[in-house]
Amino acid sequence: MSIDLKPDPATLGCPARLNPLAVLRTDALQFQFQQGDWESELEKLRRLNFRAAIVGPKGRGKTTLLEQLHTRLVDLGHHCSRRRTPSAKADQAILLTETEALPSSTILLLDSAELLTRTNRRLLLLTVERRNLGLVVTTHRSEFLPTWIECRTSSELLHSLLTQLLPRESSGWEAHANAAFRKHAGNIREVFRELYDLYASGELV
Amino acid sequence: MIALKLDKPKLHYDIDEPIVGEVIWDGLTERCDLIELRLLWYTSGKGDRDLLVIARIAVMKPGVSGKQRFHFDPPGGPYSFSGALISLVWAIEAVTVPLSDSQIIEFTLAPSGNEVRIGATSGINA
Repeated sequence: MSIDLKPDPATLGCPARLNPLAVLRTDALQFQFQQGDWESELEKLRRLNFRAAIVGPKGRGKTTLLEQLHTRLVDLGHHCSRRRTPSAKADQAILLTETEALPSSTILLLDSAELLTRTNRRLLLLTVERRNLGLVVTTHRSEFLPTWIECRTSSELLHSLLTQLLPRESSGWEAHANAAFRKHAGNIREVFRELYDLYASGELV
Repeated sequence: MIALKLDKPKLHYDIDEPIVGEVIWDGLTERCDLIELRLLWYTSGKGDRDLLVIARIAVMKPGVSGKQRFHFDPPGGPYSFSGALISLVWAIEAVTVPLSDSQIIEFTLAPSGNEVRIGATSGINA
């Protein structure tokens, strides 16, 4: 008796570790400002007393920007605390209690602040004021903090990012990328996921 | 600069083989307290990354330049594998503390020397 390992059609494409759209690679992309650069944008944030919002719909790079802001602020000597907003009210109460305990001048970097209830939003702002904290949030709508950066995407931005990710010899991806960009209404994360599947299946190489 | 060199040039290891090699460094500052060598695996693919450090070796007060042999016990598993959605990759990483330089070298851990391909179907011929 012999056992043959036959390749399944599903594995004929790119193994996950070599997929150019693997999350490991897309997460390493640098945020691209539409105008200005880190220096000018950090100056703008300083003028806002480090209390501001990164605004935009899903898949526009808000979390990427927040993560990279975290690194920059720590490098500049700021004390930061990065959190993701919990969706449950009880967990939001814990977040408020923990915020209350942060050392003065800490900058709280809060992802997905649109999940906060109206009451918790107000309580958070009061705590930030009382404890002299910074607060930079990502949110879908600018409602309770001035906008620092509004994240937008464009097909030009998508092409620029894909050019960094894809192998030089890769071809035929432009039409797929454009179609996916339209289909997902500018959500670049979803475009990456769709293109990931095309490389995984071998449809794109 | 940090460089990692594994003794086996093909970078394929069986699960009961130790991972042996050498770390070489040059041009580090005197502020470097240690170089940490980590035996780890991580996942890569469509979803979020998982990472597990299996063992660590510290090279204390490495100085500006030098080299040192290292030996990690056989990790035993899991095997290196790849499918369309996820891969598991083994690696040795060298990192200075405080962080100023790092180096990573990947290898395959599997009985045959080749990573396991998830989704491969087995046919049994009697």
